Amino acid sequence: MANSRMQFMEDLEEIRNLTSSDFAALALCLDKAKSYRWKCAAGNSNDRYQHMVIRTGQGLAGTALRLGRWVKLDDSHPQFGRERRDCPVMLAEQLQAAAVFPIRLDTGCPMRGLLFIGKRKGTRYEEDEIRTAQENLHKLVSDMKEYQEEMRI
Amino acid sequence: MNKDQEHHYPEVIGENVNQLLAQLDAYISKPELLQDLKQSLKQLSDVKFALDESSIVAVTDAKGKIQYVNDKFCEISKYPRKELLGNDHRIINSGHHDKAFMSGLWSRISSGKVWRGEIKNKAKDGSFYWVDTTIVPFIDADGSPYQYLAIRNEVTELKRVEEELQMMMSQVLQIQEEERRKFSRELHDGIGQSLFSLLIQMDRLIGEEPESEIALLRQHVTSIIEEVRSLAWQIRPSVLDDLGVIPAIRTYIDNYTSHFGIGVKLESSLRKRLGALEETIIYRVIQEALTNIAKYADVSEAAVAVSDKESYIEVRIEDKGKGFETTSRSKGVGLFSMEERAKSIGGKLDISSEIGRGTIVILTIPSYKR
Repeated sequence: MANSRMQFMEDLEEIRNLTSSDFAALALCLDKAKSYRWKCAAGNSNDRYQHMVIRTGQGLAGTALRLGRWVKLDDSHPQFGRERRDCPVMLAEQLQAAAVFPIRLDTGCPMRGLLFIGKRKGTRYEEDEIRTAQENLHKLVSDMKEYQEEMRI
Repeated sequence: MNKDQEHHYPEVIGENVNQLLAQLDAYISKPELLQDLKQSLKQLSDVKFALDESSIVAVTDAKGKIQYVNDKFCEISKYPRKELLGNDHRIINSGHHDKAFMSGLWSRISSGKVWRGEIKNKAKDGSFYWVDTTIVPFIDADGSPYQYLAIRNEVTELKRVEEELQMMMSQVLQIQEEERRKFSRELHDGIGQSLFSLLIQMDRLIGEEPESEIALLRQHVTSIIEEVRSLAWQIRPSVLDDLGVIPAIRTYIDNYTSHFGIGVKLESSLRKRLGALEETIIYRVIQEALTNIAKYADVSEAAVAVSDKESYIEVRIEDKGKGFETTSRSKGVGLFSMEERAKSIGGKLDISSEIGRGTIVILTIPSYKR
Protein backbone atom coordinates (compact mmCIF):
# COMPACT_ATOMS: atom_id res chain seq x y z
CA MET A 1 0.00 0.00 0.00
CA ALA A 2 2.86 2.31 0.81
CA ASN A 3 4.11 1.90 -2.74
CA SER A 4 0.95 3.01 -4.43
CA ARG A 5 0.60 5.91 -2.00
CA MET A 6 4.04 7.13 -2.96
CA GLN A 7 3.12 6.68 -6.60
CA PHE A 8 -0.04 8.74 -6.10
CA MET A 9 1.99 11.49 -4.46
CA GLU A 10 4.57 11.52 -7.21
CA ASP A 11 1.90 11.83 -9.89
CA LEU A 12 0.00 14.48 -7.97
CA GLU A 13 3.20 16.52 -7.62
CA GLU A 14 3.83 16.21 -11.33
CA ILE A 15 0.30 17.27 -12.30
CA ARG A 16 0.57 20.13 -9.83
CA ASN A 17 3.71 21.40 -11.53
CA LEU A 18 2.50 20.88 -15.08
CA THR A 19 -0.71 22.81 -14.48
CA SER A 20 0.99 25.63 -12.47
CA SER A 21 -1.16 24.71 -9.49
CA ASP A 22 -0.39 25.16 -5.79
CA PHE A 23 -2.56 22.31 -4.61
CA ALA A 24 -3.53 18.91 -5.95
CA ALA A 25 -5.55 16.16 -4.30
CA LEU A 26 -6.98 12.79 -5.16
CA ALA A 27 -10.29 11.46 -3.88
CA LEU A 28 -11.25 7.80 -4.08
CA CYS A 29 -14.54 6.08 -3.77
CA LEU A 30 -13.70 3.75 -0.96
CA ASP A 31 -16.82 1.77 -0.25
CA LYS A 32 -20.07 0.61 -1.72
CA ALA A 33 -21.92 3.46 -0.02
CA LYS A 34 -20.27 5.59 -2.72
CA SER A 35 -18.69 7.96 -0.28
CA TYR A 36 -15.71 9.82 -1.59
CA ARG A 37 -12.84 10.97 0.61
CA TRP A 38 -9.54 12.66 -0.14
CA LYS A 39 -6.89 9.97 -0.21
CA CYS A 40 -3.83 12.21 -0.52
CA ALA A 41 -2.84 15.76 -1.34
CA ALA A 42 0.19 17.68 -2.54
CA GLY A 43 0.87 21.30 -1.60
CA ASN A 44 -1.74 21.26 1.17
CA SER A 45 -1.43 23.89 3.90
CA ASN A 46 -3.27 21.89 6.58
CA ASP A 47 -4.92 18.50 7.17
CA ARG A 48 -8.52 19.57 6.92
CA TYR A 49 -8.97 17.68 3.63
CA GLN A 50 -8.47 14.40 5.50
CA HIS A 51 -11.66 14.90 7.50
CA MET A 52 -13.83 15.79 4.56
CA VAL A 53 -16.45 13.55 3.01
CA ILE A 54 -17.46 14.69 -0.45
CA ARG A 55 -21.19 14.85 -0.89
CA THR A 56 -22.98 14.96 -4.21
CA GLY A 57 -23.71 18.51 -5.19
CA GLN A 58 -21.74 20.16 -2.40
CA GLY A 59 -18.75 22.23 -3.38
CA LEU A 60 -16.80 21.94 -6.61
CA ALA A 61 -15.93 18.26 -6.10
CA GLY A 62 -19.57 17.49 -5.30
CA THR A 63 -20.60 19.25 -8.50
CA ALA A 64 -18.20 17.12 -10.56
CA LEU A 65 -19.62 14.07 -8.81
CA ARG A 66 -23.18 15.05 -9.68
CA LEU A 67 -22.49 16.07 -13.27
CA GLY A 68 -20.04 13.29 -14.03
CA ARG A 69 -17.77 15.65 -15.97
CA TRP A 70 -14.93 18.05 -15.24
CA VAL A 71 -15.71 21.47 -13.73
CA LYS A 72 -13.72 24.55 -12.85
CA LEU A 73 -14.27 27.65 -10.75
CA ASP A 74 -12.22 30.82 -11.18
CA ASP A 75 -12.81 34.55 -11.33
CA SER A 76 -14.36 34.22 -14.78
CA HIS A 77 -17.47 32.89 -13.03
CA PRO A 78 -20.06 35.66 -12.45
CA GLN A 79 -20.80 34.46 -8.90
CA PHE A 80 -17.25 33.45 -8.13
CA GLY A 81 -17.18 34.75 -4.52
CA ARG A 82 -20.32 32.97 -3.45
CA GLU A 83 -19.48 29.71 -5.22
CA ARG A 84 -16.02 29.77 -3.70
CA ARG A 85 -17.42 30.12 -0.18
CA ASP A 86 -19.52 27.01 -0.85
CA CYS A 87 -16.49 24.91 -1.69
CA PRO A 88 -14.90 23.41 1.44
CA VAL A 89 -11.57 22.58 -0.24
CA MET A 90 -11.13 26.09 -1.64
CA LEU A 91 -11.87 27.52 1.82
CA ALA A 92 -9.57 25.13 3.65
CA GLU A 93 -6.68 25.66 1.27
CA GLN A 94 -7.38 29.35 0.53
CA LEU A 95 -7.62 28.72 -3.20
CA GLN A 96 -8.57 31.38 -5.74
CA ALA A 97 -9.09 29.03 -8.69
CA ALA A 98 -9.84 25.32 -8.84
CA ALA A 99 -10.75 22.51 -11.22
CA VAL A 100 -12.01 18.97 -10.60
CA PHE A 101 -11.78 16.00 -12.96
CA PRO A 102 -13.61 12.67 -12.65
CA ILE A 103 -11.41 9.58 -12.93
CA ARG A 104 -12.73 6.45 -14.61
CA LEU A 105 -10.72 3.25 -14.89
CA ASP A 106 -11.91 2.89 -18.48
CA THR A 107 -14.05 5.05 -20.72
CA GLY A 108 -17.71 4.37 -20.08
CA CYS A 109 -17.03 2.91 -16.63
CA PRO A 110 -18.51 4.43 -13.50
CA MET A 111 -16.48 7.14 -11.78
CA ARG A 112 -13.98 5.88 -9.21
CA GLY A 113 -12.07 8.96 -8.19
CA LEU A 114 -11.63 12.72 -8.47
CA LEU A 115 -8.61 14.89 -9.16
CA PHE A 116 -8.71 18.34 -7.58
CA ILE A 117 -6.25 21.06 -8.59
CA GLY A 118 -6.17 24.61 -7.25
CA LYS A 119 -4.24 27.89 -7.29
CA ARG A 120 -3.65 30.21 -4.36
CA LYS A 121 -2.24 33.23 -6.17
CA GLY A 122 -3.42 32.65 -9.72
CA THR A 123 -7.04 33.49 -10.33
CA ARG A 124 -7.75 31.52 -13.47
CA TYR A 125 -7.28 28.15 -15.19
CA GLU A 126 -6.36 28.47 -18.86
CA GLU A 127 -7.46 25.99 -21.50
CA ASP A 128 -4.01 24.48 -21.94
CA GLU A 129 -3.69 23.86 -18.19
CA ILE A 130 -7.02 22.07 -18.18
CA ARG A 131 -5.92 20.01 -21.19
CA THR A 132 -2.62 19.14 -19.49
CA ALA A 133 -4.50 17.91 -16.42
CA GLN A 134 -6.79 15.76 -18.54
CA GLU A 135 -3.85 14.33 -20.48
CA ASN A 136 -2.18 13.26 -17.26
CA LEU A 137 -5.19 11.63 -15.66
CA HIS A 138 -4.13 8.26 -17.12
CA LYS A 139 -1.19 8.21 -14.69
CA LEU A 140 -3.56 8.30 -11.75
CA VAL A 141 -5.70 5.67 -13.43
CA SER A 142 -2.82 3.21 -13.58
CA ASP A 143 -1.91 4.04 -9.96
CA MET A 144 -5.48 3.29 -8.97
CA LYS A 145 -5.46 -0.05 -10.76
CA GLU A 146 -2.29 -0.97 -8.92
CA TYR A 147 -3.78 0.24 -5.66
CA GLN A 148 -6.84 -1.93 -6.18
CA GLU A 149 -4.70 -4.97 -6.75
CA GLU A 150 -2.68 -4.24 -3.63
CA MET A 151 -5.89 -3.89 -1.63
CA ARG A 152 -7.06 -7.26 -2.85
CA ILE A 153 -3.95 -9.03 -1.64
CA MET B 1 -42.63 83.79 24.16
CA ASN B 2 -44.90 82.49 26.82
CA LYS B 3 -47.63 84.59 25.26
CA ASP B 4 -50.20 85.95 27.65
CA GLN B 5 -48.70 84.07 30.57
CA GLU B 6 -45.42 85.89 30.20
CA HIS B 7 -45.91 88.14 33.16
CA HIS B 8 -46.83 85.24 35.44
CA TYR B 9 -43.90 83.04 34.74
CA PRO B 10 -40.26 84.10 34.55
CA GLU B 11 -38.39 83.38 31.32
CA VAL B 12 -35.30 82.18 33.23
CA ILE B 13 -33.13 82.13 30.11
CA GLY B 14 -32.21 85.68 29.11
CA GLU B 15 -34.71 86.87 31.64
CA ASN B 16 -34.30 90.66 31.49
CA VAL B 17 -33.20 91.10 27.92
CA ASN B 18 -36.13 93.21 26.72
CA GLN B 19 -36.04 95.40 29.78
CA LEU B 20 -32.31 95.93 29.42
CA LEU B 21 -32.63 96.78 25.76
CA ALA B 22 -35.16 99.47 26.59
CA GLN B 23 -32.95 101.03 29.26
CA LEU B 24 -29.58 100.92 27.52
CA ASP B 25 -29.91 104.30 25.76
CA ALA B 26 -30.45 106.10 29.03
CA TYR B 27 -27.39 104.66 30.77
CA ILE B 28 -24.68 104.13 28.20
CA SER B 29 -23.16 107.04 26.41
CA LYS B 30 -20.35 105.33 24.48
CA PRO B 31 -21.87 104.71 21.05
CA GLU B 32 -19.72 101.63 20.16
CA LEU B 33 -20.39 99.92 23.47
CA LEU B 34 -24.06 100.72 23.18
CA GLN B 35 -24.17 99.30 19.69
CA ASP B 36 -22.32 96.10 20.70
CA LEU B 37 -24.44 95.56 23.77
CA LYS B 38 -27.65 96.06 21.85
CA GLN B 39 -26.52 93.65 19.18
CA SER B 40 -25.48 90.97 21.70
CA LEU B 41 -28.69 91.22 23.64
CA LYS B 42 -30.71 91.10 20.44
CA GLN B 43 -28.80 88.00 19.37
CA LEU B 44 -29.44 86.33 22.72
CA SER B 45 -33.11 87.04 22.41
CA ASP B 46 -33.16 85.73 18.83
CA VAL B 47 -31.38 82.52 19.79
CA LYS B 48 -33.83 81.88 22.60
CA PHE B 49 -36.70 82.51 20.21
CA ALA B 50 -35.27 80.04 17.70
CA LEU B 51 -34.65 77.44 20.41
CA ASP B 52 -38.18 77.71 21.72
CA GLU B 53 -39.55 77.41 18.20
CA SER B 54 -37.55 74.30 17.40
CA SER B 55 -37.30 72.31 20.60
CA ILE B 56 -38.87 71.28 23.85
CA VAL B 57 -37.00 73.29 26.46
CA ALA B 58 -36.86 73.03 30.23
CA VAL B 59 -34.64 74.55 32.89
CA THR B 60 -34.26 73.08 36.36
CA ASP B 61 -32.33 74.15 39.41
CA ALA B 62 -29.49 72.13 40.93
CA LYS B 63 -31.98 69.83 42.71
CA GLY B 64 -33.92 69.13 39.55
CA LYS B 65 -36.87 71.38 40.36
CA ILE B 66 -38.41 72.73 37.16
CA GLN B 67 -37.94 76.49 36.86
CA TYR B 68 -38.94 76.97 33.27
CA VAL B 69 -40.69 75.10 30.50
CA ASN B 70 -41.55 76.43 27.06
CA ASP B 71 -44.86 76.08 25.24
CA LYS B 72 -43.70 72.99 23.38
CA PHE B 73 -43.00 71.26 26.67
CA CYS B 74 -46.54 71.98 27.88
CA GLU B 75 -47.98 70.94 24.54
CA ILE B 76 -46.30 67.53 24.43
CA SER B 77 -46.60 66.71 28.15
CA LYS B 78 -50.19 67.98 28.17
CA TYR B 79 -49.55 69.55 31.58
CA PRO B 80 -50.41 73.20 32.20
CA ARG B 81 -47.36 75.24 33.05
CA LYS B 82 -48.38 75.80 36.65
CA GLU B 83 -48.42 72.07 37.36
CA LEU B 84 -44.91 71.64 36.04
CA LEU B 85 -43.11 74.58 37.64
CA GLY B 86 -41.71 73.74 41.03
CA ASN B 87 -42.10 70.01 40.37
CA ASP B 88 -39.31 67.74 39.22
CA HIS B 89 -39.21 65.53 36.12
CA ARG B 90 -40.66 62.58 37.96
CA ILE B 91 -44.05 64.03 37.04
CA ILE B 92 -43.51 62.83 33.46
CA ASN B 93 -41.63 59.63 34.36
CA SER B 94 -42.92 56.71 32.30
CA GLY B 95 -41.31 54.00 34.40
CA HIS B 96 -39.75 52.61 31.23
CA HIS B 97 -36.15 53.25 32.25
CA ASP B 98 -34.56 51.39 35.12
CA LYS B 99 -32.83 52.88 38.14
CA ALA B 100 -29.38 52.39 36.68
CA PHE B 101 -30.33 54.46 33.63
CA MET B 102 -31.59 57.34 35.75
CA SER B 103 -28.72 57.30 38.23
CA GLY B 104 -26.30 57.17 35.30
CA LEU B 105 -27.93 60.26 33.87
CA TRP B 106 -27.79 62.11 37.19
CA SER B 107 -24.24 61.20 38.05
CA ARG B 108 -23.16 62.45 34.65
CA ILE B 109 -24.88 65.82 34.70
CA SER B 110 -24.18 66.50 38.37
CA SER B 111 -20.48 66.06 37.61
CA GLY B 112 -20.85 68.83 35.05
CA LYS B 113 -20.92 66.73 31.87
CA VAL B 114 -23.46 66.94 29.07
CA TRP B 115 -25.83 63.95 28.82
CA ARG B 116 -27.41 62.78 25.58
CA GLY B 117 -29.93 60.04 25.04
CA GLU B 118 -33.46 58.97 24.33
CA ILE B 119 -36.06 59.09 27.09
CA LYS B 120 -39.57 57.73 27.20
CA ASN B 121 -41.96 60.06 29.06
CA LYS B 122 -45.58 59.93 30.11
CA ALA B 123 -47.98 62.78 29.36
CA LYS B 124 -50.74 63.89 31.70
CA ASP B 125 -53.36 61.90 29.79
CA GLY B 126 -51.32 58.71 30.25
CA SER B 127 -49.97 58.54 26.68
CA PHE B 128 -46.26 57.98 26.13
CA TYR B 129 -43.82 59.95 24.04
CA TRP B 130 -40.11 59.57 23.26
CA VAL B 131 -37.72 62.50 23.31
CA ASP B 132 -34.18 62.72 22.08
CA THR B 133 -32.65 64.67 24.94
CA THR B 134 -29.59 66.80 25.62
CA ILE B 135 -29.09 68.03 29.17
CA VAL B 136 -26.49 70.76 29.64
CA PRO B 137 -25.36 71.60 33.18
CA PHE B 138 -24.41 75.23 33.88
CA ILE B 139 -21.51 75.45 36.29
CA ASP B 140 -20.94 78.06 38.97
CA ALA B 141 -17.60 79.43 40.12
CA ASP B 142 -16.98 76.39 42.37
CA GLY B 143 -17.44 74.07 39.44
CA SER B 144 -20.73 72.62 40.61
CA PRO B 145 -23.90 72.87 38.52
CA TYR B 146 -26.44 75.45 39.59
CA GLN B 147 -28.84 74.90 36.71
CA TYR B 148 -29.65 72.36 34.04
CA LEU B 149 -30.90 73.16 30.59
CA ALA B 150 -32.70 70.29 28.87
CA ILE B 151 -33.34 70.46 25.14
CA ARG B 152 -35.55 67.75 23.72
CA ASN B 153 -36.96 66.74 20.38
CA GLU B 154 -39.79 64.33 19.93
CA VAL B 155 -38.86 60.98 18.33
CA THR B 156 -41.98 58.97 19.20
CA GLU B 157 -42.69 58.14 15.56
CA LEU B 158 -39.10 57.11 14.98
CA LYS B 159 -39.22 54.84 18.01
CA ARG B 160 -42.50 53.35 16.90
CA VAL B 161 -41.11 52.53 13.46
CA GLU B 162 -37.99 51.11 15.08
CA GLU B 163 -40.07 48.82 17.28
CA GLU B 164 -42.22 47.84 14.34
CA LEU B 165 -39.15 46.99 12.29
CA GLN B 166 -37.83 44.89 15.13
CA MET B 167 -41.12 43.04 15.36
CA MET B 168 -41.24 42.54 11.61
CA MET B 169 -37.73 41.14 11.63
CA SER B 170 -38.52 38.64 14.32
CA GLN B 171 -41.71 37.67 12.49
CA VAL B 172 -39.84 37.20 9.23
CA LEU B 173 -37.36 34.94 11.00
CA GLN B 174 -40.19 32.93 12.54
CA ILE B 175 -42.01 32.57 9.25
CA GLN B 176 -38.78 31.42 7.61
CA GLU B 177 -38.33 28.82 10.33
CA GLU B 178 -41.92 27.64 9.98
CA GLU B 179 -41.55 27.29 6.20
CA ARG B 180 -38.35 25.34 6.70
CA ARG B 181 -40.09 23.04 9.12
CA LYS B 182 -42.84 22.38 6.56
CA PHE B 183 -40.44 21.79 3.68
CA SER B 184 -38.23 19.55 5.73
CA ARG B 185 -41.14 17.44 6.91
CA GLU B 186 -42.61 17.26 3.41
CA LEU B 187 -39.29 16.08 1.99
CA HIS B 188 -38.72 13.55 4.73
CA ASP B 189 -42.22 12.17 5.18
CA GLY B 190 -43.52 12.74 1.66
CA ILE B 191 -40.95 12.22 -1.06
CA GLY B 192 -38.67 10.29 1.29
CA GLN B 193 -41.39 7.80 2.17
CA SER B 194 -42.53 7.40 -1.44
CA LEU B 195 -38.98 6.59 -2.48
CA PHE B 196 -38.69 4.14 0.37
CA SER B 197 -41.79 2.26 -0.68
CA LEU B 198 -40.38 2.20 -4.21
CA LEU B 199 -37.30 0.57 -2.75
CA ILE B 200 -39.36 -2.13 -1.06
CA GLN B 201 -41.15 -2.90 -4.31
CA MET B 202 -37.80 -3.17 -6.06
CA ASP B 203 -36.56 -5.54 -3.38
CA ARG B 204 -39.53 -7.77 -4.05
CA LEU B 205 -38.72 -7.82 -7.79
CA ILE B 206 -35.05 -8.48 -7.08
CA GLY B 207 -36.07 -11.35 -4.81
CA GLU B 208 -37.98 -12.92 -7.69
CA GLU B 209 -35.24 -12.34 -10.21
CA PRO B 210 -31.85 -11.73 -8.52
CA GLU B 211 -29.90 -11.03 -11.73
CA SER B 212 -32.18 -8.28 -13.03
CA GLU B 213 -30.98 -4.76 -13.78
CA ILE B 214 -33.26 -3.53 -11.06
CA ALA B 215 -30.41 -4.07 -8.58
CA LEU B 216 -28.53 -1.22 -10.26
CA LEU B 217 -31.61 0.99 -10.16
CA ARG B 218 -32.02 0.15 -6.50
CA GLN B 219 -28.59 1.62 -5.83
CA HIS B 220 -29.60 4.85 -7.55
CA VAL B 221 -32.80 5.08 -5.55
CA THR B 222 -30.85 4.48 -2.35
CA SER B 223 -28.55 7.38 -3.08
CA ILE B 224 -31.51 9.63 -3.97
CA ILE B 225 -33.10 8.75 -0.62
CA GLU B 226 -29.84 9.63 1.05
CA GLU B 227 -29.77 12.99 -0.72
CA VAL B 228 -33.40 13.77 0.13
CA ARG B 229 -32.77 12.92 3.78
CA SER B 230 -29.68 15.03 4.01
CA LEU B 231 -31.49 17.92 2.30
CA ALA B 232 -34.38 17.66 4.78
CA TRP B 233 -31.82 17.61 7.58
CA GLN B 234 -30.03 20.67 6.27
CA ILE B 235 -33.24 22.66 5.91
CA ARG B 236 -34.32 21.90 9.47
CA PRO B 237 -33.39 18.85 11.52
CA SER B 238 -36.43 17.17 13.05
CA VAL B 239 -34.16 16.15 15.93
CA LEU B 240 -34.41 19.76 17.08
CA ASP B 241 -38.10 19.29 17.87
CA ASP B 242 -37.88 15.65 18.96
CA LEU B 243 -34.77 15.52 21.13
CA GLY B 244 -33.72 19.12 21.65
CA VAL B 245 -30.98 21.50 20.73
CA ILE B 246 -27.93 19.61 22.06
CA PRO B 247 -28.51 16.37 20.10
CA ALA B 248 -29.28 18.50 17.03
CA ILE B 249 -26.07 20.48 17.45
CA ARG B 250 -24.07 17.30 18.00
CA THR B 251 -25.25 15.92 14.66
CA TYR B 252 -24.79 19.29 13.00
CA ILE B 253 -21.18 19.35 14.18
CA ASP B 254 -20.55 15.82 12.85
CA ASN B 255 -21.79 16.89 9.44
CA TYR B 256 -19.91 20.17 9.68
CA THR B 257 -16.63 18.39 10.41
CA SER B 258 -17.05 15.97 7.52
CA HIS B 259 -17.96 18.82 5.20
CA PHE B 260 -15.43 21.51 6.08
CA GLY B 261 -12.80 19.34 7.77
CA ILE B 262 -12.91 21.55 10.87
CA GLY B 263 -12.97 19.79 14.24
CA VAL B 264 -15.37 21.26 16.79
CA LYS B 265 -15.19 20.70 20.54
CA LEU B 266 -18.67 20.73 22.05
CA GLU B 267 -19.26 21.26 25.76
CA SER B 268 -22.67 21.48 27.30
CA SER B 269 -24.11 21.74 30.79
CA LEU B 270 -27.65 22.07 29.49
CA ARG B 271 -29.62 19.12 30.82
CA LYS B 272 -33.17 20.31 30.22
CA ARG B 273 -35.38 21.15 27.29
CA LEU B 274 -36.01 24.81 26.52
CA GLY B 275 -38.86 26.43 24.65
CA ALA B 276 -39.09 25.64 20.92
CA LEU B 277 -38.20 29.23 20.06
CA GLU B 278 -35.16 29.33 22.35
CA GLU B 279 -33.87 26.00 21.03
CA THR B 280 -34.28 27.10 17.43
CA ILE B 281 -32.46 30.35 18.11
CA ILE B 282 -29.56 28.60 19.84
CA TYR B 283 -29.32 26.14 16.97
CA ARG B 284 -29.40 28.81 14.27
CA VAL B 285 -26.89 31.06 16.02
CA ILE B 286 -24.41 28.20 16.46
CA GLN B 287 -24.96 27.17 12.85
CA GLU B 288 -24.41 30.72 11.58
CA ALA B 289 -21.33 31.29 13.73
CA LEU B 290 -19.75 27.98 12.67
CA THR B 291 -20.50 28.70 9.01
CA ASN B 292 -18.77 32.05 9.39
CA ILE B 293 -15.76 30.28 10.92
CA ALA B 294 -15.59 27.88 7.96
CA LYS B 295 -15.84 30.71 5.47
CA TYR B 296 -13.61 33.34 6.99
CA ALA B 297 -11.53 32.20 9.97
CA ASP B 298 -9.12 29.80 8.22
CA VAL B 299 -8.76 27.40 11.16
CA SER B 300 -8.83 23.63 11.71
CA GLU B 301 -10.53 23.80 15.07
CA ALA B 302 -13.35 25.62 16.81
CA ALA B 303 -15.19 25.32 20.12
CA VAL B 304 -18.83 25.53 21.13
CA ALA B 305 -19.99 25.71 24.75
CA VAL B 306 -23.58 25.81 25.94
CA SER B 307 -23.86 26.64 29.65
CA ASP B 308 -26.95 26.56 31.79
CA LYS B 309 -26.49 29.40 34.29
CA GLU B 310 -29.89 28.94 35.97
CA SER B 311 -31.39 32.32 35.14
CA TYR B 312 -29.94 32.43 31.66
CA ILE B 313 -28.32 30.28 29.00
CA GLU B 314 -24.95 31.23 27.61
CA VAL B 315 -23.78 29.97 24.24
CA ARG B 316 -20.19 30.58 23.26
CA ILE B 317 -18.69 29.93 19.84
CA GLU B 318 -14.99 30.50 19.63
CA ASP B 319 -12.15 30.23 17.13
CA LYS B 320 -8.53 31.26 17.10
CA GLY B 321 -8.46 32.26 13.46
CA LYS B 322 -8.08 35.39 11.35
CA GLY B 323 -10.54 37.60 13.20
CA PHE B 324 -12.01 40.79 11.79
CA GLU B 325 -12.52 44.46 12.53
CA THR B 326 -15.66 44.60 14.69
CA THR B 327 -15.98 48.33 14.17
CA SER B 328 -16.32 48.07 10.42
CA ARG B 329 -19.87 48.98 9.48
CA SER B 330 -20.33 46.42 6.77
CA LYS B 331 -22.13 43.70 8.66
CA GLY B 332 -23.05 40.59 6.75
CA VAL B 333 -26.57 39.23 6.72
CA GLY B 334 -25.35 36.48 9.02
CA LEU B 335 -24.31 38.70 11.91
CA PHE B 336 -27.42 40.79 11.48
CA SER B 337 -29.76 37.81 11.64
CA MET B 338 -27.94 36.40 14.68
CA GLU B 339 -28.45 39.69 16.50
CA GLU B 340 -32.08 39.94 15.46
CA ARG B 341 -32.76 36.39 16.59
CA ALA B 342 -31.20 37.07 19.98
CA LYS B 343 -33.13 40.31 20.43
CA SER B 344 -36.43 38.72 19.45
CA ILE B 345 -36.46 36.67 22.66
CA GLY B 346 -34.98 39.29 24.94
CA GLY B 347 -31.45 37.96 24.65
CA LYS B 348 -28.30 39.55 23.36
CA LEU B 349 -25.38 38.75 21.13
CA ASP B 350 -21.83 39.91 21.81
CA ILE B 351 -19.14 39.55 19.21
CA SER B 352 -15.54 40.23 20.04
CA SER B 353 -12.86 39.75 17.47
CA GLU B 354 -9.27 40.72 17.02
CA ILE B 355 -7.32 40.48 13.80
CA GLY B 356 -4.97 37.50 14.00
CA ARG B 357 -6.38 36.37 17.36
CA GLY B 358 -9.79 34.98 16.53
CA THR B 359 -13.42 35.60 17.24
CA ILE B 360 -15.76 34.90 20.15
CA VAL B 361 -19.52 35.01 19.71
CA ILE B 362 -21.55 34.93 22.91
CA LEU B 363 -25.30 34.51 22.90
CA THR B 364 -27.12 35.08 26.18
CA ILE B 365 -30.78 34.32 26.48
CA PRO B 366 -33.04 34.36 29.51
CA SER B 367 -34.01 30.90 30.67
CA TYR B 368 -37.62 30.23 31.57
CA LYS B 369 -38.78 27.32 33.65
CA ARG B 370 -40.96 25.03 31.60
